[in-house]
Amino acid sequence: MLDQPSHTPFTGPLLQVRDLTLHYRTRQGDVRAVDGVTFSLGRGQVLGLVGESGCGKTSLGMGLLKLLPSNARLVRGEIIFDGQDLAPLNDAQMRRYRWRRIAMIFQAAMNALDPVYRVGEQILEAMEAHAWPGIEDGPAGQKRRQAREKVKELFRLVGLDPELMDRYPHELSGGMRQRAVIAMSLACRPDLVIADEPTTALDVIVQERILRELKSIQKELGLSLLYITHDVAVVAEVADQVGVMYAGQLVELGDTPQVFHQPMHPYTAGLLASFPSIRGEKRPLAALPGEPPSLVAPPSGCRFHPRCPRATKECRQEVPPVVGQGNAWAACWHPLGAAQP
Amino acid sequence: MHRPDMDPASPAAAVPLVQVQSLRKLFPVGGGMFRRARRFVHAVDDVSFTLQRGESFGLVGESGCGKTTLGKLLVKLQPPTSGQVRVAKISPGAIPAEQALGWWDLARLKGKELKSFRRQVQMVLQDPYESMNPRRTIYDTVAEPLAVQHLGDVCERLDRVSQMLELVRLTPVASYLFRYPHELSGGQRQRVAIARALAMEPSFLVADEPTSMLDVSSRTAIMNLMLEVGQRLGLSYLYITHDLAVARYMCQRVAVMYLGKLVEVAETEELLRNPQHPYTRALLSAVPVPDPAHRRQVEVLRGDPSRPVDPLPRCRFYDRCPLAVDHCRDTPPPPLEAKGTDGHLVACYRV
Ligand SMILES: Nc1ncnc2c1ncn2[C@@H]1O[C@H](COP(=O)(O)OP(=O)(O)OP(=O)(O)O)[C@@H](O)[C@H]1O
Ligand SMILES: Nc1ncnc2c1ncn2[C@@H]1O[C@H](COP(=O)(O)OP(=O)(O)OP(=O)(O)O)[C@@H](O)[C@H]1O
Ligand code: SF4
Ligand code: SF4
Ligand SMILES: [Mg+2]
Ligand SMILES: [Mg+2]
Repeated sequence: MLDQPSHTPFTGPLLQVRDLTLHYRTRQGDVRAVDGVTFSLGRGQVLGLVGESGCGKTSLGMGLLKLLPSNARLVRGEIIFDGQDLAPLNDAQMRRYRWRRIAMIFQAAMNALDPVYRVGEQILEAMEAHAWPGIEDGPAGQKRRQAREKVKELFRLVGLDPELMDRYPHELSGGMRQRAVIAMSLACRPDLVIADEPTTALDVIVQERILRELKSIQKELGLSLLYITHDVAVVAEVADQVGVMYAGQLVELGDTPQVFHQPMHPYTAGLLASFPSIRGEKRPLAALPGEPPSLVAPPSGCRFHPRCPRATKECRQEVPPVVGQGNAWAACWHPLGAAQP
Repeated sequence: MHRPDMDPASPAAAVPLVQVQSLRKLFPVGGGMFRRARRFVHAVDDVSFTLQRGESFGLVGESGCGKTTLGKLLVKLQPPTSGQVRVAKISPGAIPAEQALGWWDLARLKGKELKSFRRQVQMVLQDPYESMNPRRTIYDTVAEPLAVQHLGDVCERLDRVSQMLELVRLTPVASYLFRYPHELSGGQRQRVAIARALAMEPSFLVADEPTSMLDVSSRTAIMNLMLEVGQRLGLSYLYITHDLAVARYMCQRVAVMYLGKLVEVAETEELLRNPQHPYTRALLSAVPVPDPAHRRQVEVLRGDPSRPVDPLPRCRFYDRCPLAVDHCRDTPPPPLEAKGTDGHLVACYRV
């Protein structure tokens, strides 16, 4: 199975997630980190996922790969990847997908790298474990040499001196490690990359370069990208579609220009309005009022109601309806752009 | 004590807190077990500056240029190759205007003095995981430095920890106190690291990308907290960040670093309005804007980042600089010197 070409007869979207629900067990009760999340991601598309710190973005990303800690439980839902539901698969079956078909750029780059191996070596090992994807067949030594050239190329692409392949993780700066992990995620030519805050440790020049390279690889290879970040400016630049998460739920989804120019959900609007700029007059910083919600006992009705300027009685009592249609919707009783109650 | 007359843009009186003189840190590379390394990464290369009491000093620059290394040298987490760092001794709980008790020379600190230095000077590490023991709960993590320094009894510590978690918006506090670091999100771990450092009421805090994983709203809350604590205690920050908008709100002055050297230092608004060094200009031009129709107009930099390994004795930016002339190649790196007024310093032969 492994060395088959990655395209299969299945022609639907590459990834379809339906009603995904994931809980963590703690002494205080279940943390409902991902709650009924539904979306799909087309081939060669970039979906940006934004939301408050702690709202469940990483949990969703790890949930798709089923890389979960022991206290986590996949409560329900489907993860249909290239026509196959991953939800019921066991760990051995999942291993065939990880790295090779779905790669992850972890939020904590340090945790993704083994401190006792040189970074280049780790990437080569991952490639070897998946039978050298993208490398011509031949004697083992030759394949390894070819793969090494390939990794050098990837290093250059993320703005790293190929010489750094022979360093240990602790000999690299934070941003260098992050870039090594980006290179690693691309080494096995996956169909889908889940990138969890991949550029937080990078200056804006290096960041711009990497986003540009990612976009061009993505176009060239038809790679799909789930791009998790808190940085709405980066999402504006890379994403075809944007999903906005609040308290474990997806609350708005739509094409990037539409979400940025005509957000429907009040949380999305607040998120976009408070972006601080380095240009023009220095304005006071705006923060959302109130506190982040508890995911153990989330607010009733609409989870955003304690902090929402438009909240009414029905918001406090009833789960909001989904307005809009297809690939552009928001879950809200009083969406923006509609008449005020 | 709160001093309403204290404007965050200008520390009440210029009293030096940290003095850095010709600081240098080289890392050997490429040596094996039996080979002596003959090549060195020049991570911090002849850096000097002074930080005032109550001042927040921003440090920005290219990934890998030496910011973390500089930060670690200032809190004695790494020894320098050469140069000097001095930090003023402030008695614990002193009001911002109070006199210092003398100076610590980091090279000579040990024993009891080192312990009181560790209490006064804190660092929030870039990777929050590094500073946390995975087997200790959040409560233990935040309370640990208090316990080590014998501050307060158990009840007082529980109060203090709860209060700190509330301030960094890890609410409801009860649901976080007894979790382990791996049971938190990335941004929540960052906030624990900040809570831990601030709980000590330090007089000098090196914060290495402390809010890089936070959304705007959480970040605003944390920045306001740091500014508030900073004013109350006269706390000074070395604030390392890639986010110039964060520097704009947090820092009175900003230093721009490139391959081990400071290339520009100025008051924040001045730097944003009137950048002088070609690297600073390129950096500012590359800041993204939250608008899908916008394309970044990055001032083109030639080539790849230059190597910090055994750099040639010339301007570190030479290989990529759009303004470079032969003089830049044939002379040692330009010194950081005053250009114009108001302490705007630039290291470049052509401005
Ligand atoms: N192993 C765990 N056990 C219990 N709770 C957990 C665990 N892992 C995460 N959580 C909680 O689940 C929620 C979602 O966490 P997640 O890491 O998905 O957030 P996130 O959106 O990625 O946030 P950030 O932007 O800060 O990284 C958080 O409130 C977090 O505290
Ligand atoms: N222990 C070490 N051994 C060898 N080289 C090191 C070591 N620590 C850091 N370096 C090198 O020193 C340089 C500066 O690293 P540093 O971590 O200070 O950069 P930084 O400015 O913090 O970057 P980032 O923004 O990516 O975190 C880099 O070239 C790095 O590879
Ligand atoms: S449902 Fe009500 S509370 Fe929720 S976002 Fe919409 S208006 Fe606000
Ligand atoms: S000294 Fe020369 S090479 Fe260096 S930044 Fe100035 S103009 Fe560019
Ligand atoms: Mg996360
Ligand atoms: Mg760093």
